[in-house]
Amino acid sequence: MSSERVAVVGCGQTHHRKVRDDLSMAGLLREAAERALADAQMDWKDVDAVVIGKAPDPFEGIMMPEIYLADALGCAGKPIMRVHTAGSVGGSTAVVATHLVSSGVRERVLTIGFEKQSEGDTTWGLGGGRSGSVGAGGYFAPHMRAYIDRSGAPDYIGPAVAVKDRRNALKNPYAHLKLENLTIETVMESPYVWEPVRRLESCPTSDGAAAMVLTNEKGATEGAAWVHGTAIRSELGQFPGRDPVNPRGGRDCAADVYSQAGITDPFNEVDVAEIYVPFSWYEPMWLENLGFAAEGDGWKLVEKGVTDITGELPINVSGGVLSSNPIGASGMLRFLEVALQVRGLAGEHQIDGARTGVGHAYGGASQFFAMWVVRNEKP
Amino acid sequence: MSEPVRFVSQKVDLDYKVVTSPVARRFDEQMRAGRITGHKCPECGLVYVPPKGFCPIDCVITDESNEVEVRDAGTLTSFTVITPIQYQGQEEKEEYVLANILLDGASGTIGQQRVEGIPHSEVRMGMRVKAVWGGDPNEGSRGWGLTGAIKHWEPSGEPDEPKEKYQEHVL
Amino acid sequence: MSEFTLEFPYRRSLGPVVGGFFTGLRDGKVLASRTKDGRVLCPPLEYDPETGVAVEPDLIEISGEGVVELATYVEQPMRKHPLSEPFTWALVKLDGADTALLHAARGCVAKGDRVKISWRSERTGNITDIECFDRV
Ligand SMILES: [Zn+2]
Repeated sequence: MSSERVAVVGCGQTHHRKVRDDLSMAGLLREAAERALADAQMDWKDVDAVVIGKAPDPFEGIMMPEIYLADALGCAGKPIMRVHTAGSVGGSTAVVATHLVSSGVRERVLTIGFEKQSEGDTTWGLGGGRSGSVGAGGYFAPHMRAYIDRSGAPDYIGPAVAVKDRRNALKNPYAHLKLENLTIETVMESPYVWEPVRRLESCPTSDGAAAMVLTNEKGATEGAAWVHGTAIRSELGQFPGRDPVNPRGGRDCAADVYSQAGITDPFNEVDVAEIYVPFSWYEPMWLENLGFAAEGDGWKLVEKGVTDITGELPINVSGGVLSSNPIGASGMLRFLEVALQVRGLAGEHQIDGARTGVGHAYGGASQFFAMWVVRNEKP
Repeated sequence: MSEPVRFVSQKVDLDYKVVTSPVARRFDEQMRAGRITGHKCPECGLVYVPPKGFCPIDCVITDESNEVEVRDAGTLTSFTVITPIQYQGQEEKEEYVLANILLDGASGTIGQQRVEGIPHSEVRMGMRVKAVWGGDPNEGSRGWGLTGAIKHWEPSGEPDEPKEKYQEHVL
Repeated sequence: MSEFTLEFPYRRSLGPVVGGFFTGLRDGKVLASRTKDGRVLCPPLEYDPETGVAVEPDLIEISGEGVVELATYVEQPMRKHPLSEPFTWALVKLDGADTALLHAARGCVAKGDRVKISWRSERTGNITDIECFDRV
């Protein structure tokens, strides 16, 4: 990939909640960042550059929050930049931070993804104001229906994913939703919001932040996660022949990152993956898009329990976006959680012996993709 | 002692004046006259409805000389039934159907179109629909653009299209 | 040409420092934060911008009177400006503070002028609880 190897030496996240009314926006970022710095055994002064990411400004109504946040993130005399690629932003922010180190430009970079969704109305923010907006779920629902129609997947597959991820969240102290005793039946009884998507098959709106400290090899500590590949792809939101069920951008992004990491058989070579699943049906869809299953077979992995925490290919053992969704942090949390896994620091949701992890995020009209591969060993 | 202040409310309002592009203006004029038009790319032959004024695949500019008329009928390729979330300012109260529709003569769908005149449980992929135009073009009461001029879509009564005809046209 | 207005409602959580400052304003007091090395910040920041270190947890009360450090005069206020008559945007360093607060001052004031807060009678816990500054 490049001349400098990149290590993840610090990971920190907030306790994600519906409303973090105890904190300002800056306080929210600080909670995640200070945990990451403590994990890295560093202080604010040790950081060379800060890269932050969040979703569109109308979500909180603070124009260019990077200006206001520069003070709060110890950036006097240092570079700070903000990345924006809609819902995938947490992933692409981590990729930009990685490139600052891999290129040799910086040695120690702090990267933070965040959203304080409680401050505004996300549906308004997406739709540009009053009424008419159907939100992300309304836009994606026809794509999920097309997947179900095309693959012939039984109707309980989506609910099964919703149950699995919420069970996993019970093992994650930072997760927002803690839904005890959820069953496929209770999910199927919950009302439709954007049919075929039910309320319990949808992500929550959360306040939260995720932060990582990345260093070059010189700054790496024992037990770091090593970045073996990063990739970003984008494609047009709409053109004739575009397939949002299995988008070309996602397939190309996966092929690129696997090739950098020397992965030829993702299903057998990846120990754990965190993929961006804001609505339950996106798990089988992305399993196919990312090459973990053949086209039309993603749902069969769900049905057989292969993606369970005890399965052959555990997916979203942190609880995923379905359990915590501070949008700008959601992608970075995917990247962070697999770094924790290969470092052996995931706690109760640790997959024993995880050595290779894949983090994934998507955004916009399923048109922005970001991924990374991390391992417990140097590239 | 009164309670500490923990929140502030703020309403942001931003005023805009937007100049309509010539391509959108022309499309709108045609819509008011009851004609749905698109641009056919001279390179790849794809028909874009509404027209973009360019083909994003070939990076070529398209204009009125590339204009083609498509039918005000087509095939429903996918849909959702929306239960409107009652956020502040929401004007929708009842469940409604939004569909992606592949118009006869177009290469890609038009998204988020209202479908009415059929029970929601009977809406299906492959169903044939036709436009129900609103207003009167002569009185100038017809609305702006695609969703302004067409009130909604309803079943046309033609037989459903098979899966092969619609499954590549989710968008 | 089309004209429209975008509107977005927000509710911001303030956190302990800015929340404390706004509570003070509601009660007719100006509170400031202190950095670890003793500088007094008003408006209070949560983190020392020089070092990134969090400020002391307790706010201190300072004066509602101070000196104009920088000023720019607005002869024709716009719809959303805080005053409808001609006013001055002023950076005011309140007595006891090491930093300056941006607010509106009635009429034309200049660098070096002493000004003091004109409080609103109905206060809600917001920066607008200060109606404006007036020359002393
Ligand atoms: Zn073309």
